[in-house]
Amino acid sequence: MAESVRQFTNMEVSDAAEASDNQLIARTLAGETEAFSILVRRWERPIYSLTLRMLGRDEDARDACQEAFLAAFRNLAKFRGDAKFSSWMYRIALNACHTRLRNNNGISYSLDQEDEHGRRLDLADSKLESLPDQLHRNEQTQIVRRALQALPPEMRQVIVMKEYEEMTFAEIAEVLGIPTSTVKSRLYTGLQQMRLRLNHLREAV
Amino acid sequence: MNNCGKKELLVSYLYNEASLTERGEFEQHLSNCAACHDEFQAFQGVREELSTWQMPFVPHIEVVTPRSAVDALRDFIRLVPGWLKLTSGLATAAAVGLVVLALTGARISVGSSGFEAQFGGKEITQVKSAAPTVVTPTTVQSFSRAEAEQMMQAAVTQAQARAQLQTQAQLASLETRLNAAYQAQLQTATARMRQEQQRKLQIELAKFDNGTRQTVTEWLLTTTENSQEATNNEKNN
Repeated sequence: MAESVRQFTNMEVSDAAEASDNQLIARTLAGETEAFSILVRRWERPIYSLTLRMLGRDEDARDACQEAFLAAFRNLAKFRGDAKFSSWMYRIALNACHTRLRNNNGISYSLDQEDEHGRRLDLADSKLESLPDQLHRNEQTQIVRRALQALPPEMRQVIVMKEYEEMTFAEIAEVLGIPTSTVKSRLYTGLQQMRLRLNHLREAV
Repeated sequence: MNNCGKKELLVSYLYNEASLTERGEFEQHLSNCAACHDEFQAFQGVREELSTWQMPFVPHIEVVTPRSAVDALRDFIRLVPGWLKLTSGLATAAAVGLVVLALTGARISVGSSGFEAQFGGKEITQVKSAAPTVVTPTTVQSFSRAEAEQMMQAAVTQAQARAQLQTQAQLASLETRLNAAYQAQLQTATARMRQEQQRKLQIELAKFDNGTRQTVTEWLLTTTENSQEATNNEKNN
């Protein structure tokens, strides 16, 4: 993309950084593809955070993130201004995650051997035993990751959006297109299952 | 398993999204329901554990978006030098104009009264030349191939005749100049020869005694005058 990116002047960068999502969308639709790059920079952190917690692995999360932004670019003309761009973007990212989960049969692969970056990891790895703090942190993260990945995607996505994206029930409901009561119900069930799985995993370790 | 029917209220309270009324209602319930109390505390523990999964970094997401035609054109125009922009702009305008004329069936011809344009077979405009001309009623002429060839042939013949005349004039001028140069050289050579003859004659005369020298000199003068008269007569003739 580097060769295709027009060199912004300082004024243009400043303007673009201060522009609202809808203004950047309008500029992108008018043919200024660099405006979309600003949108990507603005939203890559929350979208990557969502895909990472949904898929559990960095590599998959990056790919899903890229797919989501590319899909957003291609379908930008279909975006309606009555909804927030972030909600629309989260929905596209979740769809990308669900597609990957379906293609990988629920993606419960390698969870016992690899961390989120695909590195092989054993919770009882002798190399980590000499570093109690790191071991404890890694153990804790791996337990959470494994427990979360074991949840059905419908519950996982609600927990991820609430816990890591800090979205309100109404915002989650808007993204998923379901009633707020359903969001709360799924969250409740998800937390129950998480409680059970975390207990189970802690006992196993 | 909690069967109190307070699931949604518990979740709202847990995430601080309950209204004041709901908060009061649920806090009162918590003090009376051990199951809900235990579950609430357990969920708080789950939340604490979930928070331990921190995202260490955010990778730079590269999204390769296809360049729009507008972007490509903009980049192209920016790279093209100014003179080429002007030239291409004029050429494009001319090309567009020709296409429009072709599409409208326009025909432009040159007559004695200037340029004439026809659109779709109907004469619309007549542009007269700037030079003052006697305006005579003319019609738009269209030539057949044979007529055009004949005109071309006539023009070529005329051009050839003009070129021939020019060549002849140049030859004549060159001949005149050559003759003049030749005459000048001839006169110079003649003068030198006479001077040489006189010098040799004086040398020879110096060898004679005075009486003989005078006699020979008079004879020579007489001969020279006669020869000059003869020459003058020839020239006059």
